[in-house]
Amino acid sequence: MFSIGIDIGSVCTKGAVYDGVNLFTDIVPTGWNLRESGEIILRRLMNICSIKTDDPRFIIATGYGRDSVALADKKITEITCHARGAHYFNPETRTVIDVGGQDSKAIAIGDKGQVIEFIMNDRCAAGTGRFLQVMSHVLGSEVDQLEKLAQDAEPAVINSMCAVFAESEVISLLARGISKESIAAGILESISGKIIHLTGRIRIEGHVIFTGGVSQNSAIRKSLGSRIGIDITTHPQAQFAGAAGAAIIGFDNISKS
Amino acid sequence: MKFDRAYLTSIEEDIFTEGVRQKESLGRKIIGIYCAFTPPEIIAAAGAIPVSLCAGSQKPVTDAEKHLPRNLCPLIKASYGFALTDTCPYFHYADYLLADATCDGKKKMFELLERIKPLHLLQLPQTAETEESYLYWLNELKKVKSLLEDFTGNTVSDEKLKEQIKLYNACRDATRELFELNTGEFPLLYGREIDCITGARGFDCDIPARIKELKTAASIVKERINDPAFIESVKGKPRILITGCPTTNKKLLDIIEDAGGIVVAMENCGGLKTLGLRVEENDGPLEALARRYISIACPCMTPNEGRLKIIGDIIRRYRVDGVVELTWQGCHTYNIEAYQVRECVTSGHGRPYIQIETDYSENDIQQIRVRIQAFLELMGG
Repeated sequence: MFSIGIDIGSVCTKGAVYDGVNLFTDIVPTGWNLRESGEIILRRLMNICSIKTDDPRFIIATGYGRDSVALADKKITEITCHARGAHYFNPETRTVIDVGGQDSKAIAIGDKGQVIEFIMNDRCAAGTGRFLQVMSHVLGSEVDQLEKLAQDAEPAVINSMCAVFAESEVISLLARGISKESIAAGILESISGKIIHLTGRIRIEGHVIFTGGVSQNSAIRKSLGSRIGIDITTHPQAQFAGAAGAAIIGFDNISKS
Repeated sequence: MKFDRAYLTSIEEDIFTEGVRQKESLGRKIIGIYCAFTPPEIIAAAGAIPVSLCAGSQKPVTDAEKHLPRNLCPLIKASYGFALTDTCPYFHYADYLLADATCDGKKKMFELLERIKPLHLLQLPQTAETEESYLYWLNELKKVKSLLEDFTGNTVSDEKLKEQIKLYNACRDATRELFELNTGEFPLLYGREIDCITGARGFDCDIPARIKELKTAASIVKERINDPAFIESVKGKPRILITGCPTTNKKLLDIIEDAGGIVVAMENCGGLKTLGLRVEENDGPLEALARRYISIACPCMTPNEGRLKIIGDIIRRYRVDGVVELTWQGCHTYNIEAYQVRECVTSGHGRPYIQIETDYSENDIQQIRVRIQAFLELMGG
């Protein structure tokens, strides 16, 4: 029996297959049709792992699009799945900071990867990947180039947390002749400030892992670490924490029954 | 027997018709009240009919925002909006309003509300701890008593007051007994059902009939213990206590129970915050009312440690697995107190806690759903 986790996020759809030893992952962009994104990732995973259509399988869907996965045997929130995935990446993990495309969250977890408490940002793009996307667009850049652009620059102060207000603020900074590099550095600082605001409300201790799409940005990770005063690590597959967690929880379910 | 919104609506329709009839044919005055601090006993003893006017609908909010700040709590905006647009039949029929100076938002809103309908504000002390506060509050109730006597032309005798005290005590007891059906090994009532059975808003014109209805509902619910299918359906569901702002709007209650939790208890104005407080029947009636009403564990009082004690008692007696705190946006008092409640629930009682800050609109339902589902998952639900 194969255990498959599908995590439909607002920007990317992630998938994972777990067999008790190996973890296979894949990622595709989330289109407007969430159901289709789920089907695409499932097909690709089945190809990668040579799973046949009639092979027994157990699918757990997670992420904001979890209700669109018609083939799912079970649906679990991304909070529970991220906790479990982060625990799999490093069993010493006690705090997960996850920043995705449209939300950010901090999760305190126990020694088995179980959620103890968590906090999520409120209905807005502040402190999320969407904020980065909007800001890099204003700079005529791409999300993944922002870090390079900001390298060694003195960060400009960006006060607005709101993506819409911050956009106007960035435009007026540009008009004042502030360099793109400084503004890029300011954007990264701003997002880490917003994330810290969130994490301030839960217990942070032990090993802290940074997951979600935004965790690929090491400047934000370093800034977070220096603000909290703890080294924050990530994992090459950090973006897959939700999908991996779902697949692992599914594997446990199969093994138990 | 289903205790759903249809059941509630049918009760409310009967109460409404009867209230209007008593106003129009018997000339009974209708007195609107807004908070749990105003004793309906005095109103009833004056031969008038009390009606609770605090509102839970998003509908009048936009109109209310023409006068009130947008970032004010939705309960205040909705209550004011209904008055402003004259779209609440209960407000429409009210002859006079009694309001309490509780939180900042409410007391300032009442200044505007007074332009729409005659209103008397009961000045609430800021603490319940001192004898001076009690004496002050007693004096406020004396003022209300003579004001109602003037307004209705009826004398409020000690006998009449005592009679109403007994009646309202019996009504609170019957309501509490219904809640207590959830203290056993298996909960017998969903929070939504408690809300529908006990939440009948309307004219308090026939308390004995309300008591009878509550008792009938309780006797039906009690039978569920012998229904294996029902017991199976509630077995293993996380038992949730909702605390905080009044559940005037039902979205959180619905989300929790749709996600597989069961709200076994509610600690809020109409719920277990006030139901355990009986009015002493053998003391001087006005003094007994003052003692009882000032001790309501509302966060507009400082300090308000009584609330933490009530929460602790509920957690133990109702075998609560997790606590959800509802904070209406802009409610500073409950929002700040959430810090102490979180501490009390997690460190003091070892239970998980989550605070949901929201308003009456539906735009954040998806986000709240994720939080609640994750919260239930962490309890194994």
